[in-house]
Amino acid sequence: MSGKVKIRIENLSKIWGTTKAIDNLTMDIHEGDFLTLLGPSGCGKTTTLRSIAGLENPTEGKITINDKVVFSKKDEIYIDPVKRDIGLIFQSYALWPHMTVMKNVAFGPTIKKLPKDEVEKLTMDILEKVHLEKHAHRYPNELSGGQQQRVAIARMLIAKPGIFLMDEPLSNLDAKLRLEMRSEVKRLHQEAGTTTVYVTHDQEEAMTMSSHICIMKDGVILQKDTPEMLYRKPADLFVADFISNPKMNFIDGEVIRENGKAHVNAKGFILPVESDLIGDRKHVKVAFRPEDAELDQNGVAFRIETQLPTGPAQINNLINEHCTVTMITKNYIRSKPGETIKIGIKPDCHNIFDIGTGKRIF
Amino acid sequence: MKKTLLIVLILLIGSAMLFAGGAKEQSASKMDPAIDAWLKQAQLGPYQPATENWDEIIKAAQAEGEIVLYADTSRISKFQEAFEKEYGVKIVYSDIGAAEIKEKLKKLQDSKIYEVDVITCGDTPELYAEFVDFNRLFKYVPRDVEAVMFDQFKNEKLGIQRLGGKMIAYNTEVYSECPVDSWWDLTRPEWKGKLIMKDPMLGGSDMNNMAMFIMHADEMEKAYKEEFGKKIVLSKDCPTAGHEFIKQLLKNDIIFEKGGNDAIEGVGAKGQKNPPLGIISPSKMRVAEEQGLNAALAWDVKPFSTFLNQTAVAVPVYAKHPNAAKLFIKYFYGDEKGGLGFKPYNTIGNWSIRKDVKVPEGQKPFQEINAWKEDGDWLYNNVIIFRDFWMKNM
Amino acid sequence: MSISVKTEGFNSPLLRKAGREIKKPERVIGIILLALLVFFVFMPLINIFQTAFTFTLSDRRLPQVVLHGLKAIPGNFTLVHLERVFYSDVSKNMFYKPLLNSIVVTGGLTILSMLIGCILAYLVVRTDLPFKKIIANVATIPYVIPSWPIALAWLTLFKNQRIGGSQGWFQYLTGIAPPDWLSYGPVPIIICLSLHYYAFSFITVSGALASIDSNLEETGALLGANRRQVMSKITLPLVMPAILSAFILTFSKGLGTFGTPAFLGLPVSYTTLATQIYSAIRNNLPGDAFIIAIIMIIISGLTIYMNVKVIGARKSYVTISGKGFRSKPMNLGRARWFIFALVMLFVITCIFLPLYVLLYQTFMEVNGDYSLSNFTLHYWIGAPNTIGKSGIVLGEGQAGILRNPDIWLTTWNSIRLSITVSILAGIIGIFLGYAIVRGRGTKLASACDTFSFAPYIIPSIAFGAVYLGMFSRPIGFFPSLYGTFALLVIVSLAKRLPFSSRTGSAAMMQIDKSLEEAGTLVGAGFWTKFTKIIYPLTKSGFVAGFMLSFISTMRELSLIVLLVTPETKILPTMTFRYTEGGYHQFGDAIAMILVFLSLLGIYIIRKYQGTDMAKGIGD
Repeated sequence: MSGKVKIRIENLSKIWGTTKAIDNLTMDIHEGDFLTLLGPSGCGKTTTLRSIAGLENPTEGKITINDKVVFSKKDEIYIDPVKRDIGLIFQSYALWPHMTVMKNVAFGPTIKKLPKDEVEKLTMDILEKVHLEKHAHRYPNELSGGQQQRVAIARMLIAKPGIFLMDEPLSNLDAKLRLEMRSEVKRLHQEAGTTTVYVTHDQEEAMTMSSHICIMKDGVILQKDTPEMLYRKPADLFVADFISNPKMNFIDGEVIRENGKAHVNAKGFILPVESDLIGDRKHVKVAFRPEDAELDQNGVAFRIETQLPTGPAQINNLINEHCTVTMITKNYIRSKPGETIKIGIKPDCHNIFDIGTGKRIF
Repeated sequence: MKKTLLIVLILLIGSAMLFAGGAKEQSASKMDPAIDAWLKQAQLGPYQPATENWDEIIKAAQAEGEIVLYADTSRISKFQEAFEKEYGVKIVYSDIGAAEIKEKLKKLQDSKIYEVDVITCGDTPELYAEFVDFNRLFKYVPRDVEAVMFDQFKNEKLGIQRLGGKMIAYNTEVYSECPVDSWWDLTRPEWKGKLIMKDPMLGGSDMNNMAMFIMHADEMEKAYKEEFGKKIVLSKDCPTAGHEFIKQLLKNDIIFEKGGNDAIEGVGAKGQKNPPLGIISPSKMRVAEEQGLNAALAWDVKPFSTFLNQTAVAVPVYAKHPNAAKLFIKYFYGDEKGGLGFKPYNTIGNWSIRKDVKVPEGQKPFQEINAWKEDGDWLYNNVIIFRDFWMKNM
Repeated sequence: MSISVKTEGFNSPLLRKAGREIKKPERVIGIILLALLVFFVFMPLINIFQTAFTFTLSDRRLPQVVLHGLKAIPGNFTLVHLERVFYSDVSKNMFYKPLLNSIVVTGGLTILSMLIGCILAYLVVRTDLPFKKIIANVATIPYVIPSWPIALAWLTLFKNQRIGGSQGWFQYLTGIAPPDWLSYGPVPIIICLSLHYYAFSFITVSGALASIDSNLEETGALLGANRRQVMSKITLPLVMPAILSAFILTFSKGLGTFGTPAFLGLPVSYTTLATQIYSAIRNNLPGDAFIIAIIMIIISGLTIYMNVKVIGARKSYVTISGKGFRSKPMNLGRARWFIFALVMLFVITCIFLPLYVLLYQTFMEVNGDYSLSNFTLHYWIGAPNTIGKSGIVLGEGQAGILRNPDIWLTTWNSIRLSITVSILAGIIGIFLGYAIVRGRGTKLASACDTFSFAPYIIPSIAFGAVYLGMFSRPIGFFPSLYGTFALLVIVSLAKRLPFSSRTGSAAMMQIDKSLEEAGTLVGAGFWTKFTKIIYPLTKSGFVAGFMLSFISTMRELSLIVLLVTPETKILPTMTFRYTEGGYHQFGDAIAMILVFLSLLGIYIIRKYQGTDMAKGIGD
């Protein structure tokens, strides 16, 4: 999937007063990528997006788009947003309330002084594409949230940008509509293969839509990877915890060395480890996904506290004197709350983290 | 924020000190050659010819076309049309208060804008001390008017066009005759809260008038003895009987008004049971007459009956239309019948300074009245000190 | 302007530097505006300070100068005025007593007018009061009426025999003489000014109330708060910024008011700082006057400072987002009609009665005779030298005002001035708002904000005098403006700056930045964004600001009195001259024309723009 580099960000920093919104950020975004910047609010994801767009003036660093430097602090380069081959959808959509749908979409071409009939044709084509041709003469506040969203998309599309930038575009929609629009945005990306940078704080959204996700915290990239890798192999405890629904299981583990071989005893779960990676650590954090726990006669005993059937699966909250574990099973287990069951962890499905740095060991 | 405030304050005061000295007044000492040249050109001041050729002046005035006039009187409008028709010279006039005239004229002259050709207003003490002494205003009295003028006005620093008064008025419906015969009466308890006047604090000639009680303190002392039959005992803060009078007057709860017309109305309105006295300009009697008010003037009060306030007319330095100005001033003085530009003023309460103009019916010539006349220099130098005294006792 | 400079291809480092950053139009505008503000606001301020601390020619006769044997050389630095005001034997009556009176009057009128304004705003916006639309419109009328005619109306109604003359209506109708405290002094001053200034808080607070989602209040109610708790814990805090903003407007404006305190205070020797300033200026003591003016500026500054402290960062603003909210009127229940009756009583006695009294007076041949036989149309349409029924010459022979060509010229001047000023004030306001709101947090923005508020607290008389001095001579390339219409426009604009910047900021505050950025993305330059996006969105605020400026310029008096020439004189100067000269009927008639023109202006704008005045100073 990864083609040539479409956007290259080098050593980007943005400082507001004394706080660093972005801290020396470097990353490449490739042609055709659907890259999502994911993180809690204030992590710098929107600032990064806006810096790419040229709406923010970074304090340090360099941004290259299509091999052309669009921003460089050192060389004092700043290229206008309109010349950066980008389109942006704002969280608030930023539809001009005093203009009709038609005028909103046609604004760009109009001020570029394209012939009137051409603008009209172009606009109608785009509106048709987003199924809004019937609403061309309405005002934004006469549209539903989803329709407003589509106007914003149409307004972005009309300039035929090579890069889509989207700043939490779905956050203002209700749950059902959000799902619908998710597919629509994804289809949009797939149809044209346009490089997309997408900002959200919703991990599910990120997981379902992206080709790559970039987890940010305090202006720093914690991990940039495919959704699967992010899920399977989170780079640190923060990522592991952030990408989880329901919560990932974290259990303190003790490294036990016998006969030159090491294993971890995590409150009864015995997990093999590679000695050279584990080094001389005594304590580690063991993490595994709820779906990676399974019934195991030789496992650790837990009492079932609650059971939450979700339809396709069952969430079991388990507890013993040492820890709590969440387990998801496809098949409903027969034991009832209050009863005791024994569970283990599926092979190779656990991650082990350093307690001090929080980084994944393996 | 506090720091910013402090900095701004320091900046402001600092720049105030820095700029201080920028607005120096012109010095009075020497006659600027440029002014001298203008006077010569305009034939004003020392260059005013002994006999004036009015045909020439009129012709020159017509060539100038208009005069710009600042006047503290609205009655210009009554003869404006006639004047313009007769001479073909337009009058462009601003009807503004005396204080505004002085402020504006000064600021404009400081800015080298010499748009005004004639000013006429009261409060001559300040005009003398801050304008004439600094070559900002020049006296012009037509030779033929000068010839028929009472002598006492010939030496004034500016031409005096008319005199106005300020005197006590009473309600004739309630009082068949004047209820007071001395200014000291006003300090009696029976007149407590029953004297209306325009607030002297609001400026104009009223503060000057009140200050004259100090100027004529000896007369007040005598009048006290006459009124109360004993020698006056002065309060600690009152150096003279004049001060004592003001102190007691203010203690007697004077009713201050914002304008002059309200006072005459207060005194003279019909159907009152307990009307106040008023200190009013006798020219307001025409209002009383028109509005059917029952007011009369107290013509016989000790030690004097009326203040006499002078209204000056003058030509500002570098006036662009000096001939039109002369023509206007001559017209403004009127003719021997009290007509022309003097006609609107030839009413009760005003006196012409021309010997040949007959005093309006029902009014004595000012020489026959016991009057206190403005003394420019004394008043200018003392009125602020007096105002402080007034304020202290308010 | 660098806002439209293209970045590529610049070689000069300076231009490159300008181009390097994201083009920040708010900066460029801010800098230009700041330069203008320094010129038109800071310089007059310096001038006031300078006058306060230097000798003038007139000072050579000051008692302090004479006694200390000082040499009062005009233009030299001195602290003598400071000494006089604060620490001399006249300080008590010149400063401390008037200061106390000013604080009493201003405090009283601020509280009373805030009370009236807030209650009325709440009733009109948040309850099911009958006919509230009409009431809302009528309630803004007092803002249109200049404040001193209300004082005159008060005198006409309540004057007693203290000032002699004809009876007031109250006494005429009841036969009871009103006591002095009701007729003159602080009580009527506070009432009369409140009836004028409540419009500030009414307009501001009703704007804020209208933008509160009633869900917020209902949530409170659901959680068990009673009406009073909802009011004090939810509603009040939400409109607090608006209330405090109205507080400043009312307080500063009230502090500087001269006319009403002069009319109603003098008969009982009740002086305020404003009347003392007037007196000092009239008696050629500008130094004394300006020291007092500076004190007033400081007092106003302190209230603003406290306000900023109190509001702080809590200021919240409504944004145009296209999302609707519900505003459910409160059910007044059985009290509905009773409250309506009270409101109507207020509207009739406090809004229509003064207007009616003024109007009535213009038809009275002789003052004080309220009978029908005294009716005349002379003061409106009479011929010159008309002799009235009672055999007197009406108006000293002057024709009715509608027959007076001077009035027509003056009216035209007034209209011309008001329209010019209000259009320019609107435009400047939006630019200022842009610079202040978009540049939030920068020093430049706060400098613009602060300076633009300064004219508010400089007394009008002083402002006019300073402008006369400053602009009568050429300043650099700037020609002398004396006698020009432009000078009147400039001084009115400068004096309107606080309002303009407030309306502008309020309007800009409502526009989310992204609306503008969306334009940047498609390549719209600053001008395109301004005309196509910002202006259309701020239009309602602009129009509302336009109306406020129109009205206040229409009635501006003391600011302009020194600057007008016969060609440029305007209605308020005329009505003042007439009233001062005792021609009440003429004065009142011209005041009625003023009111009529203002109402007409509002009507026209409303008709074509459908905007509420309420949006104007809503904050």
